[in-house]
Amino acid sequence: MTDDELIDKCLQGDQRAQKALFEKFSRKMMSVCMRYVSDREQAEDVLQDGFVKVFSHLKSFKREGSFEGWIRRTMVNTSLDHLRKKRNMNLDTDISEAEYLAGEDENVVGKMRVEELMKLIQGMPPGYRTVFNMYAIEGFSHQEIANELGVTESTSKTQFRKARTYLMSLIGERENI
Amino acid sequence: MENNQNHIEEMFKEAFANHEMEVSSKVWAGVQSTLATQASATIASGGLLAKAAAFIGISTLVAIGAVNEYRLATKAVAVKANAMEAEQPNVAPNKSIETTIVQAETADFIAVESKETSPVTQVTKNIKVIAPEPTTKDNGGKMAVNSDNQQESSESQDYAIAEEPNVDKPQLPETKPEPAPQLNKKTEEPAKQNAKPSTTAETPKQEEKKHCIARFTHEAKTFISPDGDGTNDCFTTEDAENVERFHISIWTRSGELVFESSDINFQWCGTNHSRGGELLEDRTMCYYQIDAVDSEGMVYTERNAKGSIMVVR
Repeated sequence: MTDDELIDKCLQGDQRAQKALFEKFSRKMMSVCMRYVSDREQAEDVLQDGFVKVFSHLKSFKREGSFEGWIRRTMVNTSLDHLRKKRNMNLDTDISEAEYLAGEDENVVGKMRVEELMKLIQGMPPGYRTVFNMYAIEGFSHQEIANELGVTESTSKTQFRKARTYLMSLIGERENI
Repeated sequence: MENNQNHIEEMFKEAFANHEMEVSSKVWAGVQSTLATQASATIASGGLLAKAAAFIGISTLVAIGAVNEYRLATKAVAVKANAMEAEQPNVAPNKSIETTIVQAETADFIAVESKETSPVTQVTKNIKVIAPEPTTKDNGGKMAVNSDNQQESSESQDYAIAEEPNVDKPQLPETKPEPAPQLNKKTEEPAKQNAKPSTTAETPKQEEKKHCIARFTHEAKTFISPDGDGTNDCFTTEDAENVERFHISIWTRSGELVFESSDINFQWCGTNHSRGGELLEDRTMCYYQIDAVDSEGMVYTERNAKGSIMVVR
């Protein structure tokens, strides 16, 4: 069944279609939620709320772009709401130590498994993590991130740069022992 | 270095484009029951003034435009109205949806209230019949709630209530019970995800080293966060097989030995054993070295035998 057909059926209230839609995307979306909200239980809460939104607002999906992208965006928004609620997005966190050792052998990263990358992301302070996720992985612009998070564009850029440096330092450490 | 950094971003992006994780079955159950709840809410407030059991109670808690109506009621009705509100979708900590059953028999009264801030709108009304005063007081304010006065609400989002002096006629308010909040922001499509399966996720397979058959894993912990939240609190090994002798040492960057153990079931949670177990500071970078030998006396030389780990508090 194509996404379009699936959407149609869901809009008609077909529960099997809803289940199918959930099955199709939930595992990927769990990965998204886990990147933002690293605690598994909480990530599942977010996932649940996100899917409720997806179904509730399905009719507002324009069908112009990628359906998965739309769902993903919904999950990101739900995650951000969760973080806001927990006031867990403090962008002031700083890790001065991370400045050193940036830029290591790029092949290092290639060898890392996605699970390890996930741990690296989850290990970052929430501010870094959020901006890094949004910019590097979701592809938001700094302008968009600034709007979403209520910070300035330059804060977003700074946070991202620091996050990247921080990641690089961890990755470097890992290899260079 | 610039390239290198871009490479990092690409790398992460690609790795996660199609990454999937296990989802517990609770999640679908929760979604389903929330949707069922919403559907009922829609029906109830949509005017099928029912004798049915309405219910409601969700994890998300903002009541949006519900509508309120009653007539000759004699019942106590409790309603938890709830609607998703994209703007502040409070994520309730408790995903299990408690469903409050509300008996609405003959009478009834439909919900109540649009209140941005109240988490759960709960209205309990004891209605004693009677000629409602023709004038409803205090429209603008919080409508409803334990009053014996009649509230006639008209449009769900309309706080100013139209007076409807005539109560004899039960009147179904026209409602848009579900203002279907738009997703906060326009959902623009993030760049379409690359459809090709990620190849980066593959396990870096290590060569079988000689003949050492000892095995263990420690989940590639790059950091530990010993805060007792159950995730990543400690460094341990798992799935050990054929390990005859084992020894792990952990040092800080400055070379101080903070932990060592010959027990493969050791657990290290960011403490400094050379100093009576005091906690290492936030972001202390440590190095570990594991020496293991299998039953044949072959030395374990896999990549995870040494590495670094950061303590994050």
